[in-house]
Order: sequence, then structure tokens, then C-alpha cells
Amino acid sequence: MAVKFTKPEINVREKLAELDKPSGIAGEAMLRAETPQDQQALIGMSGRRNLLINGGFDVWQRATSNTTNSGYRSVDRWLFNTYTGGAFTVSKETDSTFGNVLKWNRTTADTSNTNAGNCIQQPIENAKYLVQGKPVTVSFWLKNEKTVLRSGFVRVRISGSPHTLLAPAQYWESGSNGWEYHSFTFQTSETVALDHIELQIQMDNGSSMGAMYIAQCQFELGKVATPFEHRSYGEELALCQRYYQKLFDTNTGTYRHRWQGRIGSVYSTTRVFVTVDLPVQMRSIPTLVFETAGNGFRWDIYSANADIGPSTGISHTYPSRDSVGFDVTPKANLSSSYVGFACHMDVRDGWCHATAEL
Amino acid sequence: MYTLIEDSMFNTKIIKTENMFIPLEAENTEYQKVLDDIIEQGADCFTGDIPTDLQTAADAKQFAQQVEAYKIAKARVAQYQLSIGVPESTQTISTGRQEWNEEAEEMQDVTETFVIPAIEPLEATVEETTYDFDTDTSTTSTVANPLIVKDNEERAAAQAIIDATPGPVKTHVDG
Repeated sequence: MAVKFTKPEINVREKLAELDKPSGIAGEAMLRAETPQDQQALIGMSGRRNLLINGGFDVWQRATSNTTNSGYRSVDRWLFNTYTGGAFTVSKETDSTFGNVLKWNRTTADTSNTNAGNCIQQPIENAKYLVQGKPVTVSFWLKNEKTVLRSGFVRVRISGSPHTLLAPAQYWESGSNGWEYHSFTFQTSETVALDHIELQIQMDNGSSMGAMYIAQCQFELGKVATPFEHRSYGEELALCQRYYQKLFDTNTGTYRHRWQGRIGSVYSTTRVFVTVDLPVQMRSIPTLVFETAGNGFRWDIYSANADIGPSTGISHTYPSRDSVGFDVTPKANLSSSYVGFACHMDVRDGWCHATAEL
Repeated sequence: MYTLIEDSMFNTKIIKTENMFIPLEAENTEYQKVLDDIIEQGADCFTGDIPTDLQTAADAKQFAQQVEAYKIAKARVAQYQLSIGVPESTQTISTGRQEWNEEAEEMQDVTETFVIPAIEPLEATVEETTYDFDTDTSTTSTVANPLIVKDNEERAAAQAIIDATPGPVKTHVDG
């Protein structure tokens, strides 16, 4: 039996023309992606992209400027890694384009460590399994106050000794007095020895005087630098408070509301207890740092219509991740009739901070 | 200077400095600094004797640091020396297949042998040219190959770490 079938004619020229789609390279990559996960990785626009905290330089709990060379000094979550030579000032500035930015102003040159220091850096908690063996991208805006060409490195390394680099350093260059966008993609090592990693951005090599400004710093997974992820101030502050909390400071107005009205108890004629709940659970049991200058950090204590303070010393503290207890000494020769009473306590002088930084 | 404050009523301990209370918490950064100071300064950093539990923690940290340093140093020394190079060698691996051997009258593993090419030693010296702008002259001199110099320095530093590593640490790593 003969079977007859027909086949529609194909215009090869038309078919080829259809293949010439205006999709571009990125569009082609999206079409070739085999899974939704691949597509999401290509877009890189899913939520919670920025692994940095306070990448917008909005939260400055400690101070809004510093001239000290190393450690956590002003802007939250950003550590200064510098050498003792020369001098610089870091400060919070308001920019017409970005709002809050960090200004790094070198005032005295130091050429002793051009390949290492003068960095801002941020440890990223438990990032080991997120980044190892994967591409990561760092992006930020930079402005050079001068028109002289300046440069510095950007690198990702293990946070802890030894500071092994997870990928070769890359370098930014800036020579104009205007905002420039920089992005760098690193392919990180397959193995990361410690839990925490840190991002380092060198702000100057020590020899070029003048200011550099940095804004909207982002560190994200993938090969694509996506637009900066904005978070509200309240959310950013809460994220910062996991690592540092300014509990009391009678020297500035910002934390005044935390001075007043703690309820304590008189345990004995020499011991009064008061507990302060922390607004955010901290990363680890915090270290308490307190003022010693002048009268130091001390409490006012009131009970049974009498002033039984100010405290003459802090004998002990009981920090946990959620609260801090203080064991303070009331005024001398306190009558035993107060023992067992509740008391009202206010911070009278000084400041006290809780820190659980990496 | 650190002081350990003990509260027997609540059975708690905390380390006090002039302006800090530091919890005995492994995750706390300042506590790790206390241990580092004990390792480096011994009893000089403490008021009175170092409490036993802190000394134990410091010893454990130092041991872990020495283990890590010893492993890194061993790996560095195990790398070939640039001034000597590596002779040609062969490596035989099993392919995972078996074939019938007529002479032995049994199935035997099939192996493949690879030749790993030699790595030639670097030149011991290199020529270095310096140019004097004032006199408009250049001078060429022969100097030790800086790559070899650096390699030898790193090897020596690694060997020094190995030599200084306490026996128990070596035993822990080497078995």
C-alpha cells in the first residue's frame, strides 16, 4: 500500500531571519539557562543581596568622625586597618547624590606601607559556606577630591590569622573630582579555612593627600554588580546592634532615653542590682566598655523616698546575649533598712557600650 | 592588666580591666585577645596568678596555632626547590579495568604509566641593568636570581618553624 504524505514548504531564509532576535548577550544567556536557579543567578536581583551591613554608611553609633588609626572607631561594622604613620580623618558626610557617605581625608602622608594599610574593612559573619568556590562581586561609588590619579586595592580574605587571600587583589583607579562607579568580580578559593571572611578596600596608599569619598558599598554573590540594596535606617541599625550597642551615653542626646527609670533591687548594704535588656540579641556574650574619665560611668539610685547613690563602683557585671546585669555599690554606710527594697536607677555620668564585634 | 572577678553567689566569672568587663566566652573577640596576651606575656598581664581555666584555654589555643603553623611550614618545605628543579619521574595508576593475563593465567589490573616531565632549575644568577640618569650610563651586573633568593628565604623560615615546633605538636600532626 502506498502512503502519501505532504510536508509544508520551509523558507530557510525566513527561518534564519527569525533567529536574529534582538535579545543581546545577556538575553541569550538567560535563554540558555537550564534552571530557574541559573536564571536567578544571572539576574542577581533577588532579595537580601548585600552581604555587607551598613554598606550605605548610615549608622554611626560610636561617633561621626575619628582620627584613630585602627579598630572600630566610628561608622558601624567598618573596621579601620591602618598604620601609625601619617594622619587621616574619617567622617560622616552628607552628599547631594547619595546622602550619607564616608569621607577619608589624608592630612599627613605615610609611605611606609603602600601595599598594605589604609583600608576600611568589614568582617562578614559565617560567610564561609556562602562564598567558597563561587564568584562574588564588590561594587561601590568612589569620589576623589583631587584630580591627581589615585589607586588602591580591593581584596577578599579570611578573617582571622593567617589572613589568606581568597582571590588575587584587584585595583581601583580614580583621577577625577566626581563620583565613579567601580565593580570587581572575584572567583574565590574552593576552600576557606575559617568561618568569617572580610572585604578590604584601600582608601589611599598613604602618599596622596586629600579626601576620598565612598558610598553604597555592596558585596554579593554572582558575577553581576546589581543596584545597591537599600535598607531602612531602623533595619540597618538593628543589624549593626548585633555587633555593637551604645547602651548609655550621658554626653550626647541620642541615647538619653535609655538613662532613666531602671528598676533595681538593694541586695545588701554594699550591693545593688539592676538589669538592662538589650534591644537586639548580640552575636556573642558582649564585652562591656565603660567610661573611666572624670566621675566615670555611675548610676543614681533612689529608694524609699531617699537618694542612696550615686554608685561608687561597679563590682561585677552579668552580660548575656540578651541583657546586661550590673552589680553596683551604693553610697557608703547605707542603712540596712533598705535591704530588700526595690530602687529606681538612672545613669548619672559617663557611658557604657556593649561590643560583640568579630 | 587583667583581673579575674569571681562572684561565688551566682557562680560567675568575668575578666576586668581598667575600663572593660570581658566575659569568658570563646566567641568574644576581647576574650581571645586575653588568651593571646597570656600566650605572649604569661603572668605579667594578670593580677596575681593566671587562673587555671584561663591558662588551660590559652594553652589549647597556642597548641592549635602551632599545629596550623607546623602544617603550613611542612607544606612549604615539601615544595620543590627552584634552584634544584625536579627530575623526570613516572607514575603508574590503575585504570580500574582488568584483563586476562595469558602467562599468569589470571585476571590482572590494567595500569597506565605516565611520565612526569622534569622541571629545570632556574638560573642561579641573572643580569641586572641599572641606568644612571645623571651620567647617562647603564651598568650591567650579575646578581643572584631573586626568585631563588625568595624561595630559599621562605624555605628557611618554614624550616625554622618546623625546628621550633614542640614535640607533642609534631606527634599530633605526624602521628
